[in-house]
Amino acid sequence: MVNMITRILNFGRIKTKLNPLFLTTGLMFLAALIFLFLNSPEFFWLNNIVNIFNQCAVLAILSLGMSIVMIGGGIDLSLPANMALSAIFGSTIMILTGSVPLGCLIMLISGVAIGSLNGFAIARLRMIPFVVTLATMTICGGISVWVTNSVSIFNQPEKFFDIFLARVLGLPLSIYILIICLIMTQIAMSFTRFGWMVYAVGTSPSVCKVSRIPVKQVLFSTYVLAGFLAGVSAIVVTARLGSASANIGNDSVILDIVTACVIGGVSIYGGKGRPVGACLGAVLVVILGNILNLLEISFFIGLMLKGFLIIFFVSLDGLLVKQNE
Amino acid sequence: MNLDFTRNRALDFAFPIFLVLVSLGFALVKPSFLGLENIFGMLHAMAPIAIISTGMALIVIMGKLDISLGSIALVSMGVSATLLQSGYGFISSTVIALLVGAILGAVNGFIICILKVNPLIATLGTMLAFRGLGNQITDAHVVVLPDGFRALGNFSLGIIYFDTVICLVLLISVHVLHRRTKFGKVVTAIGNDETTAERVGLPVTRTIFFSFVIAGMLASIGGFFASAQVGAVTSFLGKGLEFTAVAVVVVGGISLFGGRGSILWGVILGSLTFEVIRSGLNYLGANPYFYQLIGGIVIFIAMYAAVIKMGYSANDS
Amino acid sequence: MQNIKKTYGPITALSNASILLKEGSVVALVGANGAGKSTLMNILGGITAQDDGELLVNDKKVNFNSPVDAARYGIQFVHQELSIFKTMTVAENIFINQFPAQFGIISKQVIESTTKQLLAELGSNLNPHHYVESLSTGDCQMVVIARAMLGNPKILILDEPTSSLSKYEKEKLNLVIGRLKEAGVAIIYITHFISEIFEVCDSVTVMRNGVTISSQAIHETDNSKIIELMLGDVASIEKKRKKERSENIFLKVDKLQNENKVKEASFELNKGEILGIWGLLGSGRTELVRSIIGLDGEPKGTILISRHGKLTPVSTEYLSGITAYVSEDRRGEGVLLPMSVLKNTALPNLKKVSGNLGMIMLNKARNLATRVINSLSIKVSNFDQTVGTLSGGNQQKIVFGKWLETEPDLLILDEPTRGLDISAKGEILKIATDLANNGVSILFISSELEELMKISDRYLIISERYVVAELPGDSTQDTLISALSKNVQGSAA
Repeated sequence: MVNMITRILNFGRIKTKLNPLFLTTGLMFLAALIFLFLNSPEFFWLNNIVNIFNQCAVLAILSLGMSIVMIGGGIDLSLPANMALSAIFGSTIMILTGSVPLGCLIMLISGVAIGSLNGFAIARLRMIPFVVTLATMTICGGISVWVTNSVSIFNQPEKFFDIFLARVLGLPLSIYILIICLIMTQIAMSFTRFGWMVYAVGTSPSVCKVSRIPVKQVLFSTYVLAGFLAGVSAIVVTARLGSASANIGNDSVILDIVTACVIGGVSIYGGKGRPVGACLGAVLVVILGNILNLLEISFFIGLMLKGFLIIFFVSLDGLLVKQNE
Repeated sequence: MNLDFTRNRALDFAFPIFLVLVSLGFALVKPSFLGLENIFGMLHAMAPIAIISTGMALIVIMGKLDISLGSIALVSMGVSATLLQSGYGFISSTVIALLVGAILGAVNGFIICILKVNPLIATLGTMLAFRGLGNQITDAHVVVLPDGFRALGNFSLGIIYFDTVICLVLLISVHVLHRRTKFGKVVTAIGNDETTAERVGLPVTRTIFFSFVIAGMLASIGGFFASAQVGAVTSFLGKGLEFTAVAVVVVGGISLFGGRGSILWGVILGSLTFEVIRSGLNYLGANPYFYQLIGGIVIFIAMYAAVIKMGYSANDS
Repeated sequence: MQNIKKTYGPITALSNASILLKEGSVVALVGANGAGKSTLMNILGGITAQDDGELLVNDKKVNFNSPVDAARYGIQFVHQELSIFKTMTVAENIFINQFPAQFGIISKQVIESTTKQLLAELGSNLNPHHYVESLSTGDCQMVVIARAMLGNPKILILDEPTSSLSKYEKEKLNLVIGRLKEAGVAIIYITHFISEIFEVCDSVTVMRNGVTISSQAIHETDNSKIIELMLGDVASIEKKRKKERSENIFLKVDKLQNENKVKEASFELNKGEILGIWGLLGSGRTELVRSIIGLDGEPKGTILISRHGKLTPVSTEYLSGITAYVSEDRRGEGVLLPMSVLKNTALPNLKKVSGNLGMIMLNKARNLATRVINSLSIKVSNFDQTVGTLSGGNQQKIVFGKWLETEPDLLILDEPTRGLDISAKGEILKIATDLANNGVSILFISSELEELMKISDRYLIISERYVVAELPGDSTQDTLISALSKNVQGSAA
């Protein structure tokens, strides 16, 4: 099982040693599945599994975006807020004009625009990623509550839901969107010039500078791509919830994203990890959430667990980095 | 060189001038805005955030960040409110609240110093973990505090409020700690360059650890006054406070790159700026949500100014 | 210190080093890079411990486990990299690790007046209240020396104290050293600038390959004797190449100026020529080559290269596009340690190994890596091995290999053999000469005169940020050494 997981995680690379991080994640995964099997076999009903994937689509798409940024050595805390604001903009336009494609386009454009703002401040102005995206997060959150007065936006055109809640071959569209995003991101990172440059920049900007890699453009692009994926997730989340609100970007979402990435083997120190890992991390986060529900453990204890999970994985990662040096 | 120097000076004064202009602007619309009563009212309202920002300032001067401060405020007040409800006295519950703040600060310190986790990620983790803990303790309900609290939180002699005085005392003590003690010098040295500080043989780890403990305690004091002002502990206590505290510190001219800035003046300038904007917009009857947006933009501008300044000083050397 | 030995793993840093210090005297410690000066001084400073041999202070045997131990015996170490805190004042920097405090409160008056006194003793009138970031490097040096003085040292180690000082500041430093001598402090003065030795030192100890090969009183020796001792005898140099270079100018640099890093540098480089850049560490040779390819900001001046038989001015960016730069910092700027050979070799060649839509053609990348591995006979098990697990020589070959695949017209080699064993060194030099034979123009920087002489067609002498001379390829060791020592002396006088 563990072997299989590492093999899946190793997708796109030929051979790597069994990384203790993957091992830990794999064991957690296994434990979670066994636990569910013993306590609630109905979890493995096809319907429920589809449901789980449906639940994690938004988180997984955001985690994909985050994985790109983190591999490039940065972090983007504004992704959930970006998603919320894009959803609000898009929904408003969609309701005003009645045009579904225009609304969706606006969501994507808004996501990219916010991503570019981050990218510009970080790559060009050389500001600290953590703080820049923290500020962007506050601004986006501010605009979201301001324009909506903290009220959810309902009444998107029926057609929007018809399209995005449709089931193809028994699976909801959101799962297809996730799969497409995953494949595209994984291909972009593993098999394109851009992806290789991102890994290199995340590993050592100084080596890249000497090797004629356009470091600034690469960094900028990672934030733009992450912003684009936030726009995609805005569409998915609006369809699933049937509304758009400032609250869909609350800060516990960012915790989930970072958790998904670090347990999926994406290093916050840059240059390491794969989008697939982040995606599986997101699935694991959702499953853990389900287990906590099952055990009737409160949401708040769940927060604590996730918080400490992040710290545990990051310190483990740090130890590994040190060991390799 | 001279031009850069002038620009640098200009940037130093940009926010004070901005503050004065904004205040005058509000005063033009409503002259009572700059009345003594309103000014001291603002000093009262900003006391909790100023106290939390004081701790943040110490951490930022060390070149680090602690974004778990708001959550620490929530946990310590949650504990204290629960204790009060179950019959503990005012003094003991408050002392315990302070203790909780110190312990949570120590948890941060432990993760950063011993587990060697990057402070940003560490406190991002604990920010949410502590928030979970706090809400678990209060069950995410509003806990009403005894009447005496509210009276204390809004107690004033003439127009000078009790919490304003406490805030000033704390600010001055931390300022002295930073400027006039060995501990403070080590903090600045770490903010300059941690490796050099270690090479010179300064007690780096210990200092980082205790700075986080101090910041944790200040966060719980800030939380105390924030709850005392409204007479209750809500699950929203401290939410977003850590970001406001970062903003206050940045606007106050304390560099996020560490080593620079005055705690006393920086925190006063920063918190006053945000309080003037908040209460001014309130005065004008603007949408209260608008404030968060303005806040975010002000942080952005302050950061940009700091970067420009860094650029210039880097060119100087 | 007597017969000190120190090994790091398989590498012997010190095999037999001894140094004698007398109260109130200044001993110069010189040697080429990697001769073991720093290791020896780290042992004296308590930073590392020796494997063998003993330290005697006043005829008593001592052992240091930490810099604090060393300080107890009055040994203070002023590192080359100044331990200063820019946003703090002069007084604060001096007292940083020994603040006097009453009830925990530091008195500004006390530390500032003590500072003033201390600085006055050193002959400096710095304002204790000024922030260190506004000071020149020389004044920062003063601050660090003052900090060391606060510990009442009997022995003061100055590591490369003048490496970034102006002439005026050097003179000031010499005065300070004079005063310290009078006060009975013994000083070890490590430097690359030979001329300085004659200004301040009483005796000179030369190290080579971990051995202190000579200790002489200053009046028994001279400039070129010291340089000769440092570099060892390079008796029979066999030129790697026959002299048959073309006279077509490939690159012409005219009055290149880059702030205070490079000053009015002009030189020409012919096609297929190896131009040896000869200068001591800190002379500005690295800055010169970095400036022409725009790695250290935009320099002033003109860079021309030959295109279609005509010399055309080009931007540093253009030049960088046809240049392979093997940096002296292999781990920091050469290879991506945690990544595979495949990805490392592909890095500057991404365009070459990718097809439509920027997709990487894995087989092309693999072929490229295989080609690199085979042509330079790099010892790896396969191209997925991480570069961090390779030996230094093989890492350097990866750097060479990845650049060669870009088919550069200009190759810049900055200390390409640093830290490599003899056979790897030979291989690297062989690769360089082969390339030159194939028409690549090469700028070659090395601290080792022997290897420089082996392959250079011509020499450019760099001193104190200026190009001071140009010598033909058949220059002898004596000419080269005297060119350098003459100019070193000339500019310092």
